[in-house]
This record gives sequence, C-alpha cells and structure tokens, in this order.
Amino acid sequence: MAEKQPDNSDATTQRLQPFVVVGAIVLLASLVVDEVFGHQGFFGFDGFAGFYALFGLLAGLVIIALAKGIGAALKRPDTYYDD
Amino acid sequence: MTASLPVPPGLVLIVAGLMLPALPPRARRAVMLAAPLLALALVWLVPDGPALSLPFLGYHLSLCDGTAAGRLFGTVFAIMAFGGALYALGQTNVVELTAAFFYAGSALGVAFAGDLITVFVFWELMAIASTVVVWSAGPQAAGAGMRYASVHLLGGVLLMAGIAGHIVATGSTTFTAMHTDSLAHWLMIAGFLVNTGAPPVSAWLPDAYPRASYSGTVFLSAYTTKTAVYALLVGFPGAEVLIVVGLYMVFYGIFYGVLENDIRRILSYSLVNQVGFMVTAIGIGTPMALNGAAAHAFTHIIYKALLLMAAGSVMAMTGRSKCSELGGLFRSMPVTAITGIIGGLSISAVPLTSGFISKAMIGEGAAEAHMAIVWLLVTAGAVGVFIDIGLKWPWYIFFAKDSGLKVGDPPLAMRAGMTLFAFLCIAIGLFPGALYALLPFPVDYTPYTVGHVATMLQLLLAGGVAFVLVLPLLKRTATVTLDTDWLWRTGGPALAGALTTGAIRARTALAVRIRSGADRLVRTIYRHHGPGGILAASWPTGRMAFWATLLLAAYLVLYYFG
Repeated sequence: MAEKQPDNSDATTQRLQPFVVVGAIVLLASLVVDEVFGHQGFFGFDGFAGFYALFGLLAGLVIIALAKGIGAALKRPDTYYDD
Repeated sequence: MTASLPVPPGLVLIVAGLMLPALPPRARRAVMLAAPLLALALVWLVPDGPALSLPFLGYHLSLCDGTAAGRLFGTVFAIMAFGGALYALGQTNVVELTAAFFYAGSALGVAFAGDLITVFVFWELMAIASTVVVWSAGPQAAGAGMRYASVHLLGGVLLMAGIAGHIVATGSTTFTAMHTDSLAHWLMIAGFLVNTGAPPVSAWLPDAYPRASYSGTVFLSAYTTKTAVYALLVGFPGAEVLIVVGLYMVFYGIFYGVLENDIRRILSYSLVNQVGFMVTAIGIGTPMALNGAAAHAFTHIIYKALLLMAAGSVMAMTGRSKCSELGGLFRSMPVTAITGIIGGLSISAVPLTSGFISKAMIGEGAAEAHMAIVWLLVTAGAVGVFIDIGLKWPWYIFFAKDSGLKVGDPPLAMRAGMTLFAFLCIAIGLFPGALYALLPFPVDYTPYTVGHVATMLQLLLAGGVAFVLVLPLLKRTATVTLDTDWLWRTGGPALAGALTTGAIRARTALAVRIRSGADRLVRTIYRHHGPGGILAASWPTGRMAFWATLLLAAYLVLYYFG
C-alpha cells in the first residue's frame, strides 16, 4: 500500500481538466443569466451583474494569501507536539 | 380523560445508553437504532410550554418545556443519534457507544430545559459524556481528552457563576432571552461561547475531536457546539458581541482549515467556521437571521456528520488521515467519495443542497439589517468554505495524486449512515419548506430565485477559479499550525518549568547565603566568647580594681557637676 509515485503537475492538470471545463461553463452561464434577468443588489455597490464573480475571485485569492501568511508564521512540523 | 405526563426525549437515549453494555450484540444494535427513533417520536409529543416540573432546593426544575426552537433542535439531535448509531453499528467499544448515547440524551435535555438549573445539569452531563467519547479512542486520546475536559470545566464554571448571579439578581430560574447588561449575563454568554469553539479557546475543538474514534467524532461534531448555539439563540438573541465573535470564528476556521493536513482536523476547523456563521446570525438578532441560525444548525449537523463519516471511513479503511498521504480514492471508495462530495457541496451552500437554503437566510438577515460589512464578510466566508471543504478537502482525498491505496468502501452500516445523510442533504436542499416550517419564526423567504441561484453559482465558481489558480501553493505539508492551545500545551508547561527552576535556584542561593552568614556569626561569637576570646577570658584583680575605681571617679565627677 505504499505510495506509487510523487505527484506531478501534468497529472494534476489532467485530473483538474473536467472540473475546470464544467465549472467554466456554469460560471459563464450564471453570468449570462445574471445579466439577462436583471441583477439586483442589496446595498448599491453590489448592483452590477458580475459583482459576485468579481467578489468571489478576490475573496478567494485574499483568503488563500492570508492563510499562507499565517502559515508562514505559525506552521510547524506535525511532530511538534508529542501528545 | 387525564393527560399523561410527557417523557423527556433525552431520557430515552440516556436509559438506552446505560442498557447497551448489558445487551448481547444483536439486541444492542436493535436498541441503538430504535432508541433514537423513539426519542424523535417523543420530541413531537412534547406539548408547548412547561409540562414536567420537579422541586429542587426550593426551585422547580422544568424538564420538558416545549418550544419551537427546542423541537427543531430536538428533531435534528434525534436524527443525528439515529444516523450516528447506524454508522457506528460495527463499533465494538461499548463504552464509547454508551457515552455517545448519554451525550446525545443530555443534549436533548438542554433542548427541552425550561430553567437554567436544568440547562446547567445537562450541560455538565454532556461535558462528562463527551470526554468519555474522546477517551474511548485509546491512549493516544488521553492528553487531548484531559485538555478537552479542562476547557469544558472552565466553561462550566463560567456558566454556573453566571446562572447563580442571574438567579440572585432576578429570583428567576426561567431560561429565557437575556441581555449583556450585567456581569452574571456576561459570564453566562462566555460559558455558552466556550462550547461553541469561540476564541480565545477555539483550539479545544480541533485538538480533541480528531482524536476520537472513527465513529466517536461523528457524535462529537453534532451536540456540544449546536447545543451552545441553541442556548445562545434562546438566551442572547441580538447580543452584538456575537457578531464580532462569530465572524472571527468564520475566518479562524477557514485560515486554519486551509493550512491543515489532517482530514478530520480540517473538518474540525470547518466546524468552528460553520458555528461562526450561526453565532454571527444570532448576534444580528432579526427574525430572518435567527431563523437562519436555527436552519443552519439543523443542516450543518447533518452535512458535518456526513463529512466526518466519510473522513472516518477513509481513516478506517486506509489507516491514514493526512491529505499528504492520501489521494485518488474516488475509484476504490466510490460511495464514500460521492457522499463525502455531497457533504462538501452542502457545506459550501451549492444550490440544490441543504446548506444553500440555510446559509442564504443568514446572508439575507445581514442584508435586511443593512449590515454591509457583516454581509460582505459572511459572503467572503462562503467562498472560503467552498475552497476549503468544497474543493480542497475532496480534491486531496479522492482525486489529486494516485496514492496507490487500493481499498474498498467501508462495511454496509457505515455506507448506510453516509447514504442516509447524503440523501437528507439533497432532500432538504430540494424541499426546504419542511425545514422552514419548523423554524422559530414564520418564514417568508424563497431561496430558489433565478437571481439568487445565479449569483451564488458565480460567487462559488469564481472562488473555484482562485483555487485552481493557486493550487500549486496549496500543496499539502506534514505540518500543524500553532494555535492558542500552544499556551497550555507548550508555553504554559515551559513557563511553569522555568519558574520552578528559578525558584529552586533562588532557594538554593538564599540557603547558601543564610548558611555562610550564620557561619560567620558563629565564628565571631566563638572568637569573642570562646575559650580564647577577649570577652570570655578571666581578668586579673588589679585590672578589675583599676576599672572599678575609674568608673566610681567618673560617677563622682558627674554627680558633683550635675
């Protein structure tokens, strides 16, 4: 049951491909629907079609960046605690 | 016709739990499945208002008080007990099963408690029973179980002090809505928050829960935190401090979850994150937000248990629990993978799943209350959850690299537990009306509008784009991320050790100084008063006469001139 081989980026890209294709199609469709059906926001700043896509992308990148920052300061080997 | 006394639903699970060790395996399994169903039926037989009262030290314990919120939480607690028991049918550790049933019954006891003393009693019984569930996993859980018990001891002390202060000030033991207007109420809210996994002691949860057995963690994920959510919902709706605390929990869970490698610890951090959404909603305090908190607690119990069932299955079948040692299990564990992914989609609030119809109400609650920053943070939190649990978690377990592990799905009972909860996630997502009808306030909300579905998909998939863009940066590492529990696991003991060493050194130095001082004193006395000392020697008669005459003369002179 040992690991066969280390991961490599080509295999990862290949495995990701179907998810990325489906995700991209649904994302584009949701943008079209948002535009066609007339986007409505709660506060004004969110009142344009595509707001959620933009916000989702930015939020995702900021969250990962902040997590990496915290990790740089606080990550330790998983043998750090002996219990 | 005389009305019969209602049976507290929790009592059924407690009695069933105590019976389990005495039963042969076949009967034990039957009781494990029948007792939660009986409890569920009893939940719906509890009438509105206090129905069972016992005198206690001059007060009345209200053991069976029917409310909409209590019935909602009671329902999902009983469903959870059934699903957890089904998943755990193969568990041979009867101590764990007994403790788990006692724990679930105590949580039901809180849900139907009409007074604060009853709340406290069941609160403490939950703490004891859940500690036993953690310890049941064996020696590797001993330290974590002790830390878990210590933190809950602290929470219990805070809660008891608060309750005592409240009773002294008001003379009432009724468990009803309060405000953060006195020290007693602050102590109570702090006691409740400890059990939600709130800061600064959030670390107790990801420390202890992943140490329990494959089935124990499933039970643990449901009761302690959601009973605390129930207590806050009833006791402190609209307390603004909860918004700040809840949002901290939302992002704490995401950041630490993104960094974590252990598949059950990732879900534990995510548990804090999800409870954070509920705590935030309770702090907003409008009927929409409170309904959102209650609905999210209901859906969350089911999808979080499902995720932990899937993680437990992976752990039980592969013997591994680290993302860095897993991957590619989709083909060999298809049931686990599909049900786990359904759990991941539900927690991410993807349309057609249970999380979508509950989390939407929390966002709507913030928007209705015109809390733009809270709404933005809650919405960003939804993106974080999708990246952490909707994508990263299943990716590294079921896809990503081929770890070479060739194992099958777990035994039938475990598959049945996962399938049941996956079915509920989809059913609640497709037909939210049944859940909405149980909520504490009347619901006038339609989650499935074209606009809402489209914008939610946009939000999540754009977050997915961010995930794909930075995937190489998310490579799993065999690490832990330091948390506040460092203070009591490493920092505190190190400080205590340093203080002990310092105290020993200071005491030794002081003893040396005292001893040398005493030696000098003894030597001086000996020199002056010893056999050769000047003060101890016998003086000649002539010298004595001389000094006596001199002193007399001096006296005469002084007398004469005085």
